[in-house]
Amino acid sequence: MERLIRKYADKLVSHGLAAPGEPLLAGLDSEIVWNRPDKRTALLATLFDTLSINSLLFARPAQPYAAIIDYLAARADEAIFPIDCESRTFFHDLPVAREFSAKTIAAALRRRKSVTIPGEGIVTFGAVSPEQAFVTFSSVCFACYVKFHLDYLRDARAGTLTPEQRAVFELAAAMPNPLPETPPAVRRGPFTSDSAVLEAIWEAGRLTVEYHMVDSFFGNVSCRRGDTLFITQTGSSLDELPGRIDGCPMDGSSCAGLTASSELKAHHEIALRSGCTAVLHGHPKFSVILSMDCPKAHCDREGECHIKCPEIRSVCGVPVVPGEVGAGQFGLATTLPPVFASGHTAGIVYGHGLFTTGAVDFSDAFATMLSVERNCREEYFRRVAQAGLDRGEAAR
Amino acid sequence: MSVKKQELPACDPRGAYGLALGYATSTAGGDHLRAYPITHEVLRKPVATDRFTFSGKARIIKISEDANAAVDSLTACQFIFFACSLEEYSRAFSAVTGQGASAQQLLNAGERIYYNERMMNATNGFAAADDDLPARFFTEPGSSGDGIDVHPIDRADFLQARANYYKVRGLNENGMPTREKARQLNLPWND
Ligand SMILES: [Zn+2]
Repeated sequence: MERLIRKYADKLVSHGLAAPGEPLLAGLDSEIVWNRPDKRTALLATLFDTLSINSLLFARPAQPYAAIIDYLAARADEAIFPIDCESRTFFHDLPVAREFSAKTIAAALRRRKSVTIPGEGIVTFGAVSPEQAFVTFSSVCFACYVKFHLDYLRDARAGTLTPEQRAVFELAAAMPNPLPETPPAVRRGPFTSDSAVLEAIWEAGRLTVEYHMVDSFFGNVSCRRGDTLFITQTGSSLDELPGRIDGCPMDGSSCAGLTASSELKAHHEIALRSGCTAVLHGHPKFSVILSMDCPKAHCDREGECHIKCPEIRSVCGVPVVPGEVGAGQFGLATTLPPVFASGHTAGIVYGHGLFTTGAVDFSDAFATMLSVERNCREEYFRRVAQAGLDRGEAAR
Repeated sequence: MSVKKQELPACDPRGAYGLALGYATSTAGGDHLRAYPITHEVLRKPVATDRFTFSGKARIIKISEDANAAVDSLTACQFIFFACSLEEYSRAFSAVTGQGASAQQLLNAGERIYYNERMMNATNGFAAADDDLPARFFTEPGSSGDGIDVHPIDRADFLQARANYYKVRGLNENGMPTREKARQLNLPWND
């Protein structure tokens, strides 16, 4: 337990989600252990008495997340309502509490996985592992970042931006851009052994995290060799992949896919219908933001865009499709593969993330992912500037 | 090969220590579905836990037993809970019954159910000696493969995890319910 507490405290820092020395984590089996002493541990410890949890995390997020989350929380009623896929699937809404008290925190965590206290930080928990607390914390940061920027673009067009909103936007925009001009060199195919495939997947996963194309345990990676599709396991962090790859026969002749990524079917269909070798999936922020920026003013599918958008949309030349996690009529395993069957090497799932492919290895897939996200980032700021120009204001 | 004279399911507890503890503490005898630790120890839901350690497992098993007691009472299929949680089911429960309930309130109901079962078992003479695994699991290795060695379970580690479980569950060191905990859960207590 102590090892896990330390691991996720360190991971929050290394992922840029919290400042060094900031995260406060506790784990409970029969005794509570904390990662460090803090004056708030006594208050937080009482949460273990009223909630069926085994781990707890409290931290003020790093910038720009702190400014963004404080901004959204201060203007939220009882909760923040992001509409990205991570939030829709796992969190529904992000409760906000007005005071740092055991009572208000417990009240929120009785029904949801996180609570945000403006000016203080975010409290999350795990029922079986501190990893859950880390995943939730990371998703709150991601969801709020996406929501803030989407709302900002809308308000820029409507001419309703406030000075506070602009200040937060400027702060976020001034953060260093982690996207390099040239992609890093990756292992080249064709891969002639299963172990070469595994090493290529490990590397692609690690780079996807390193270049901030995905957070916590989201995203997935696959590589086909012959009749086997090697794919990351469900809930595996892409920077910890050794031992976390399932080799799934393409003909479905074994149940090896039981522990595979929930997007196994999508990867399988993409590989089968496009003939590609490598499939990479991440949640890069600006691809996700722009996938939800739709100019249509009135639409009878409003609120259902993520599953039923009937339009053929694209962002920076990349098709955007609706689709919820998994298979079925509205699942992305159904809606996404046709994009790749028609010759594209990148596709965005509305409000969710980006899939890219490589013909023989991950070099194309990774380069495409980086360039799509870089283009989307530029396009986002261009649209914000355009909105200002359209309203006769000076461009940023 | 049984716990409380209930034959064990097909899964070997030497390959998953939460499962080992869950078999032993199950009020119904050797049953993989009471705490269902296979979800996180093998199937990685909601996240993966290390299957070869008892660390943290006492509280996990207790919480899962409570959760599954609630799930069973909702007459919901346990396998649905790979994808969703009581957070979603509390909304369904509220919609159907008209009684608002949070996920935590359903877990509290599950805890009362499970503690009540412990009390019924205690009345029928069950104690710590019955919360145990067949001796073979502590002396013989399991079938190894794929680079994974399956060792016998360390007896001292198991007993420590069981003691932790008793503490977390509010039982005494012999696994017996206490008047104090029963009162806290609003369960009737007969001397
Ligand atoms: Zn995804």
